[in-house]
Amino acid sequence: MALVSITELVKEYPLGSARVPALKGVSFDIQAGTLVSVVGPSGSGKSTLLHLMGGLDNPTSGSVVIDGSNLAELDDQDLTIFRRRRLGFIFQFFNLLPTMKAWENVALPRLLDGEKLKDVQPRAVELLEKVGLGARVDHKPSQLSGGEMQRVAVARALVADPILVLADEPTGNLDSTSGQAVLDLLRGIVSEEGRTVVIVTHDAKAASLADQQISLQDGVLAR
Amino acid sequence: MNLFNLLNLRRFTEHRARTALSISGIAIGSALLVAVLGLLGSLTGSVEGFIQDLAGSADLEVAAVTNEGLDERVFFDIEQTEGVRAAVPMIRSRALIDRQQVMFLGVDQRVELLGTDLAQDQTETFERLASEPGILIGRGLANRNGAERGDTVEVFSTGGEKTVDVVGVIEGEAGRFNDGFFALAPLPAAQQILGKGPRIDSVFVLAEEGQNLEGLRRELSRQTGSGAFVDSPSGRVRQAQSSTASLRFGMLMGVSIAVTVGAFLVYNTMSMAALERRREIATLRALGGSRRLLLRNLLWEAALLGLIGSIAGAAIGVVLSGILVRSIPDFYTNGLGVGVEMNLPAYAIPMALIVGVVSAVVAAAMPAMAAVKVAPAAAMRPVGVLEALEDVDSISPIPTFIGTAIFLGSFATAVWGPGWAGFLAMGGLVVGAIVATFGLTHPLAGATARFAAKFGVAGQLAASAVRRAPRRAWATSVAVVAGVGMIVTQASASANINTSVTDSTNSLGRIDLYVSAASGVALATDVLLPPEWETTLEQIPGVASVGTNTFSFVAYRGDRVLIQGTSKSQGGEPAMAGITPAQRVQVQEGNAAVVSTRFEELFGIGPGDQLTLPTPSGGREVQVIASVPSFTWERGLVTIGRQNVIDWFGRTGVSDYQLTYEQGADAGAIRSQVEQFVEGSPVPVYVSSGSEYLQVIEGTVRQVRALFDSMVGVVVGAAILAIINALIISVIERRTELGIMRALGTSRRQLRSMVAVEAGALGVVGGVVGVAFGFLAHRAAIVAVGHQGGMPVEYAFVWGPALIAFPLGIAMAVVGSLEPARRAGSISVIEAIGYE
Repeated sequence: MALVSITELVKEYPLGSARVPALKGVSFDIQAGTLVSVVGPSGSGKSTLLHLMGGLDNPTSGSVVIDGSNLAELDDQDLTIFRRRRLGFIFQFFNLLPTMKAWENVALPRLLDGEKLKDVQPRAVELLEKVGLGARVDHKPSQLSGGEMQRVAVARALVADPILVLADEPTGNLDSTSGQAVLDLLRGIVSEEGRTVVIVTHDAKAASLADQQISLQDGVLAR
Repeated sequence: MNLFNLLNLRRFTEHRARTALSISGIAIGSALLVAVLGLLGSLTGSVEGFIQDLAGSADLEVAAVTNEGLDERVFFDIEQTEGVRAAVPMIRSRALIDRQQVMFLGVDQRVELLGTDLAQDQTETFERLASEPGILIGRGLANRNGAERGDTVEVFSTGGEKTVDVVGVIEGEAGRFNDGFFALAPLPAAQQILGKGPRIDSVFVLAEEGQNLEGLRRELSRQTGSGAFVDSPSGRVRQAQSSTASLRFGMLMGVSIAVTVGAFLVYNTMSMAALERRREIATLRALGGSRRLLLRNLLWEAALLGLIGSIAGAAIGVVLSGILVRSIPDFYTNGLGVGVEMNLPAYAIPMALIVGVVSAVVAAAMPAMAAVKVAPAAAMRPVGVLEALEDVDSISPIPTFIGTAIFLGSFATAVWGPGWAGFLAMGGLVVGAIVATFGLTHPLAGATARFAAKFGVAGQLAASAVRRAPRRAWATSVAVVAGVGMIVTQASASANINTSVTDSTNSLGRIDLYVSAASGVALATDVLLPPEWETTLEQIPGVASVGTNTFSFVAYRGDRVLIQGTSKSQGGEPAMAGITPAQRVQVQEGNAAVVSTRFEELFGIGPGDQLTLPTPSGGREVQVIASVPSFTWERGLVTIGRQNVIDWFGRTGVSDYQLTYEQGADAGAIRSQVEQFVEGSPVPVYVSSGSEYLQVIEGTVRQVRALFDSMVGVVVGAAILAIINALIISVIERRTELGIMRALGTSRRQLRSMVAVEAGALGVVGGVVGVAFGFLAHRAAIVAVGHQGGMPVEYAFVWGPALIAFPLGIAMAVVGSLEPARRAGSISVIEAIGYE
């Protein structure tokens, strides 16, 4: 059985009195333990698809079922808990909190779940060591390079032990060396830990690493 | 707490200046609140402490309605009344000992039943008084005049001058009663020393257990008749509160405006935090942070700001309170009958903390709720994408309607409603204005933007900033409205009060020379001048006539009303100046009375009515023939003939003599003769010319105005802080945009001008609304001041304050823009474009 099952997914945005379709009935499945890339030109609906898969937005129609949970049937509170406990996010602009140290940023999703900082600290440090930042655990984002910040974000995405990691242009803001390091990390997460990772990307190299490639054009799957 | 610490507390240290700005806003409101509560608490607390020290566990007090006291036989009737467990007779009169004002007490052994410090363990001293005739004195007086056991002191009272032996000094807690300025003698000795005859001032009543006090009070009132007033001892505290009502209401109004402006500072800070943290909050939402958790943290953050601000403010407020207490005008303390000492009520600081925290949380609620509504998907948006512009001309009908209704209803109530509603109506005007302008946020922001757009490129940029954040523009305008509105209201009302006081007291300047037993505007009611001085003063060459006035307080329907007995008046007293010469004769012959308009308003007794005055000799009827404005005493003034005062009250002494010179007389020579004559007086005597007396009155009015002016200053200061805060938000919010503009060739100067134009435009719009508000609030304030201040104040429209306040409002805004403008001008292009 597929980990993610997308069925006839439609998303329209209001623009004045008109409605602009972003996704026009997309269906596909994702198997557990795979690296999936979502590619397509700007405006093809990649980000919208990621928002809907991440429970960040509601579809106009259709369904997103992840590990048996239909996201469209969850209310805001349940969706919030689902994101917190079952999903990991990696953003293009890292979205680290500037007042927190690297390890505190990593610990954040579990703190949001009510755990204590000192209880999460060992796991956060372990993850930072795993992404090669063992010497930077106490640094704040302003003291890290772009590549380092994205690696902190990868560690944060893993701290709650999610079933699905969603990455939005994870290399879009990095130089080629840092970008490659992050892609290697994500590939490693899939191959070594058996996790499922979905990457939305413009980067052909990132797309080529995927086990499954989903191409979008004008809101529909491209043949 | 972990999360709160990481997400919120660390922000405080990262943004120290902004945190300090918010804290200072709350601190200002809180400091003012503590200072004013301290001042008001000192006024009533001093009376309360005095009464507590004196009355102890007494349930009721039967007090003489006048300073002359009660027939002592009343005591025996009271003692026999059913339901009375014990009764304690007492003399409690003001007197001078070695020229020091003291409370002179006359008691017997029964005083121990009251359980006060003064009465406890005094058996030995009472025994000493029984064997050695004389008085005991308090430690404060002993320290002042150096008198100890075995010395003699000069006691001066309405009963004349006596030399008395000091048989001891009361030490310890008991010795600190009335700050140690008191004397104690056995009841009969006190009666003799003070010339009271067989009279006492009060009987304190201890009721039997389970006794219905209201029933007992009614029974004792019936028994004692019109010569006595029966109330709980705390009744005097109520009197003190009512006699300082205008000060209390006026100052609390100022405080509430200052707290409101402080809350706007928090509103702005939280709006700024919400804007800055939009991406952070979206990220937290995406990572699984619930709206409730994030909202709770933001509100805790506001509560903490409120708490820190109010603690800092409370500390400043305690110091300010001491300064205010020292500067209370005699006008207010005169009628309290006790010295006013710093007495910060126990609730003042907790209340300031609660008000600080609650106002901060309330102010933060709206921006915080808006902040957590951000869609989690916003975390994915590229940096620097601008938010969609809002529709700047739409009106929010519900708040506009509710606010306008409250505003108009309050205005109508203030102008045409009952006088007591005046201050409530003023509060309604403030609330109505805030709510209505909130509803009109978009049109106000639109007007500001259109005005700003007239000023070239900088103006266009400023207009875009205002359009982007209409709520911030509203909050800034409201700060300007508060500052300008308060200046216009206060200055216009002050101008009217000044005119009314001058008009009603001008006649006092007609008198050539005053010889009084009290200084300044205080009226001598306890220690009086000898009546025989009248003849001596009349005989001084050049003196045409000598008018006399004798003042006394009476308890009229539970309120302390001032009685003025006048003879040979030259029309100098406002009450006499406001009536015809024929009416003046009627009053001085003892056939009529003149009441102040305040008295008529409070008690409903005016021209044509029969007034029954409570006197020591029973109720006395007198016809009221006129009601005139009088700037004297808040609970009203009744002017009768001096012979009435002598006959009805047995009061022969004189409070002040008023000398009128013959034409061409040598004023300097007369004055020096008078001063020579009074030099040897055992009582301090104050000699002043009519113009000097008027200056003292003007000085008192200035003193009261200064109290309120300082509050206006505080509000203006808080408003400037609010403006700085709002404009800094504007700069931070547009940091990326400003960086891009710099990159495209906008000069630093143009950026600085943009902020200044935005501030100026907000100042103009806020100033226009503030002036309009001030005009209407002035109209309402006059009614409220007239009602609470003890005299009617004529409303007259004045332009002057608005002409000053309007440019001042713009100046406030421009001054507030200096630092934000500097920041805008110093933005680094590279950093701003990469800003997150």
